[in-house]
Parts: sequence; structure tokens; C-alpha cells
Amino acid sequence: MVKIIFEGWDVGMRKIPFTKLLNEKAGLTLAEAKNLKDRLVDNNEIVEIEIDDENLAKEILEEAQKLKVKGRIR
Amino acid sequence: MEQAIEMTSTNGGASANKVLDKADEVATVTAKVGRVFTQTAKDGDLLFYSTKIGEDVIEFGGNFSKSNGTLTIKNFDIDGAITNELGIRGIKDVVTDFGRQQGVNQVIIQGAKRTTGANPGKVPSQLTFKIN
Repeated sequence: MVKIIFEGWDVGMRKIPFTKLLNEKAGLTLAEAKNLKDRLVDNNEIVEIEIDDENLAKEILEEAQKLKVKGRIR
Repeated sequence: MEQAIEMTSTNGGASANKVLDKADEVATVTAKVGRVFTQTAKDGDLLFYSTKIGEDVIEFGGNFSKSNGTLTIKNFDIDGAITNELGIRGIKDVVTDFGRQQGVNQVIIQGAKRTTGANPGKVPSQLTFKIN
């Protein structure tokens, strides 16, 4: 089990694609994904998700970073 | 339309008239409907739609609720290559078109915090668009 920790965002962050990334690849429902995005962006929270597969976690993080989301894997 | 006219000349009769009627119907519906909105994702009251502006596609979504002729979209997000160029006027055009198709009198948008455009980090003011 790997944790992806999303710590913030840069100007230009693409919110809808990030929400859909979490929904489509991280196993979250659309509502959960949107809620996580809202907590990260609106509340400036550090949020984390757990992913079974390390390669998938890396892929998600890489795509999130392209969407200007700051994060790391633990 | 060209196809419908050609069928009139070759087939004649009632079936060709039906084709023409259908073509007129499609043209009328397109004119009435205007922009085409496609639902791209849904989870309860959380909805996302895409639409084309010229050659560009934009996507928007949030938590939708309808009451007394008012459509309210909370936590509104919008995305697309030309989103930053749209401005309030462009968003108004899209949203009023959408509201008209939803059969409401006004649309209220409560935007989520901006991450792009002129004021990243700012939570936009609530916007109310009346539909004629």
C-alpha cells in the first residue's frame, strides 16, 4: 500500500481533470474525488489517498503534477 | 439539407416529404437549442457537462439543484483551453444557454476557489444570471 500526499497546487491547476483523474484511476467516486479536490484547493488542506499498486500511484502522481498539483508518494 | 433535397427529386412522394420535414425539424431544434451540452460525468447532484465554443471544448460542473425556477450550481468549476479568455460575459453566454435548456428563469453560480486566470486563490463572488 502506497500513500499519495497532495500538498498544494500551483497557479494554472486544472481542477476538473484532477477530479476526474482521482475518479478514474484512484478508485474514488466522483463525489469523493471532487470533495478531495475542494479540500485541497478551497481549504488548503493536505490530503492523502491510498493506492494498492505502487506503479499506479506513481502514474497518478505524475499526471496530477502535470495538472499542477503538488504531491509526493510515501 | 442537400441530401434531403436530392431525395425529393429522386424519390418524390410522401417519403421525401417526411425527410424534408425531419430536416426542418432538426434545423428548428438546433436553432432553438443553440449550444449542445453533453453530460460527461454524474454522481448524485454532482454533474459535469462539456460544450463547444468555436473549435474549443470547455467543461464545467458542480453540485446542481433546482428550485422554483432557479438552477443553483455550487462549487462551480470550469476548465478548458479558452476558459481564461471567456470572462464573465463568456461564462454568462454559456450558462444562460444552459439554463434556458434546463427550463429555468435564472442560474446562480457559486464558484469554487480559482486556480487560473487573473486572481488565482480567490473565491469568486456569487453570480446570478437571469434568463429572458
